[in-house]
Amino acid sequence: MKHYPKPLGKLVGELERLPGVGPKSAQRMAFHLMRLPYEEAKRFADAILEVKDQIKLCKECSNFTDQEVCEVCRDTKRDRTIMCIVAETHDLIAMEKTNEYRGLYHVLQGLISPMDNITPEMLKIREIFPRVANGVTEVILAFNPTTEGQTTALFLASRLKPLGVRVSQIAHGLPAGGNLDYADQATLISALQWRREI
Amino acid sequence: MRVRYLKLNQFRNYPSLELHPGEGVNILYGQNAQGKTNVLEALSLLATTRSLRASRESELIFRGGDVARVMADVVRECQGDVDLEVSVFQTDKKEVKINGSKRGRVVDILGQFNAVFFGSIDLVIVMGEPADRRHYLNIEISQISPRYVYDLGHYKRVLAQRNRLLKELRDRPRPPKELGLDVWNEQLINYGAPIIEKRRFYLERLAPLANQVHRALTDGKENLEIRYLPSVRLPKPAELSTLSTAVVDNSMIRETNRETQYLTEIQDATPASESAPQTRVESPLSDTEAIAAAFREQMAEMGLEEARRGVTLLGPQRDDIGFFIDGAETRLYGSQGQQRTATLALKLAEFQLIQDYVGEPPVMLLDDVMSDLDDNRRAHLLEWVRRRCQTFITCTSLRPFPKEILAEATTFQVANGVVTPDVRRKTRNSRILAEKEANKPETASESVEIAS
Repeated sequence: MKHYPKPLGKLVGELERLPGVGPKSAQRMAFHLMRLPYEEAKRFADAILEVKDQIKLCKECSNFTDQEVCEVCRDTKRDRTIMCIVAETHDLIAMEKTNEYRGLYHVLQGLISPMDNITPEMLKIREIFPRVANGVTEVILAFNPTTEGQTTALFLASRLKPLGVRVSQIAHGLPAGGNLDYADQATLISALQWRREI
Repeated sequence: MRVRYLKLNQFRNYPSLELHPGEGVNILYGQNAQGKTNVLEALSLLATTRSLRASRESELIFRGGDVARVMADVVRECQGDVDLEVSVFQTDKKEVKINGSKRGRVVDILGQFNAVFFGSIDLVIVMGEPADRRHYLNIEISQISPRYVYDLGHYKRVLAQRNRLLKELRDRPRPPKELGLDVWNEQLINYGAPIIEKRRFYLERLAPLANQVHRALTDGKENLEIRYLPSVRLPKPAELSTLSTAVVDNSMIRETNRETQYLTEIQDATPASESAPQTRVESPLSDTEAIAAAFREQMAEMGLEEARRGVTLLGPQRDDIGFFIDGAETRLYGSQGQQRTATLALKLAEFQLIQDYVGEPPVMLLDDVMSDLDDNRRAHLLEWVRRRCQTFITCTSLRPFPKEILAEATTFQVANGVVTPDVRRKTRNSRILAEKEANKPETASESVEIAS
């Protein structure tokens, strides 16, 4: 960083810490930001602070929101007997885009992964139980088909089933419109494991 | 199975190389450090997606190049011919193409082309550490079972996560269930049990074949016993299907077939997996389930010992294979000659096993065996490969080869990254053959006369 004037070096350093940004891109972004008109730069800086000031977790489902309770949880037309548990807010957004699902959500804000110091107590799991007790009859687990996703699903299933609630998990296998002979072996193995009677 | 055409690009010491190997024995000869073994390594890469000796796969790239590429045109009797390509990038990333179309996962190429490699580096299987033997098992089993690779990948991940959790419990003791240890236990068993079962299944079939070969190599004087030494004590043999009751488990055979067959057979056989849907048909415990039950029981017996030590103490990561010659452990008590013979027996048994599963002989890759083996074993080996399969042999000189092998073989001279087919030798050989042919009618008529 010693080649940069101090404030510029600081900016490059901050940008480098962003996910997916290496030293080269950080430098390019920093130079771009430096050359922006003052107004534009301020708008950018304010946007960051506004997010920090105004976005919090929904009191109900732990989704990101700028209100006390998020839009989905406030929606009175939602089916309050079904709850879909996802890892991240962007998973919720993906599910919402289908326009298929009209139940509630719960966002864990991560998956169980001891290597990243994420144990169950660090996730929004405790918050699930009072919600389930409040009239939910089916829980759908929608996680990525990774080791961590599967472990988190097993964890939740083992804790929720004794409460008498139905627990299901979204299917893992071939993509819709996919071609059987183009699928890789891992996908096919998974599709076979998850096959169901018709 | 044989390679009709091999092309290397920026691979090891070859800027580029094109090779049209013969159907039988191919001999690559030349001075040391000219690139003979690199050709074998390229073929082995196609079969296993792994380098034979590089710790980082980017070491396979020609000095100054950006991507090493191996392409082969493979003739197969059972599955039809196929074009394979493996590329290795500077980032150690690999990419595979099957018949010109890129595959999402590198492991998809496993099973497309089968080869058995034998060279001095294989001595570590008998003489090295348990980790070397597990590595050997993993590579061999993945050649015939894609499911094994899948389970192994998940298992390693679960093991790393579980070890991290156990360390956490050691340093800051808490009720393990709060941290979800029970779920990691189940996951370890889920992915571990099929691995243990595949290893048992593979070694149980390999062992008698290896003993047969070993006996032949020692003129019936010595017996070689190969024993699977799993970390999880297996259920009693009565509860597991063995060779004599082999009808029960054909999971491995099933997987070696193509998808279509895989799908039709699945109707009358349920895969042994805990994560299968709840609607599965009720059946007696499969081998994998019996092993999973034993795994679970022994893990429970261990109690909090694992949390106290902060590490997983049970599972395939602690497996080993034992080699015994007439009851004595080869690694400790065997002579160098016995260790070499045991390794060779193991490799030839592996060849037979692959041939049984795939339905046709794999390609044999023999690295510098002419100087490593004594006359007896060398003769046995050459007799074995002769007319049985396509073979690639590296050596420093053609002198140790018997005439009848040389007469049939295709020979290539390797010098400083250039491989030249021996046209001259071939013609001379065929001239010798032609002369023999010309003499034949006389000898034949002579013998006829004698006979009459």
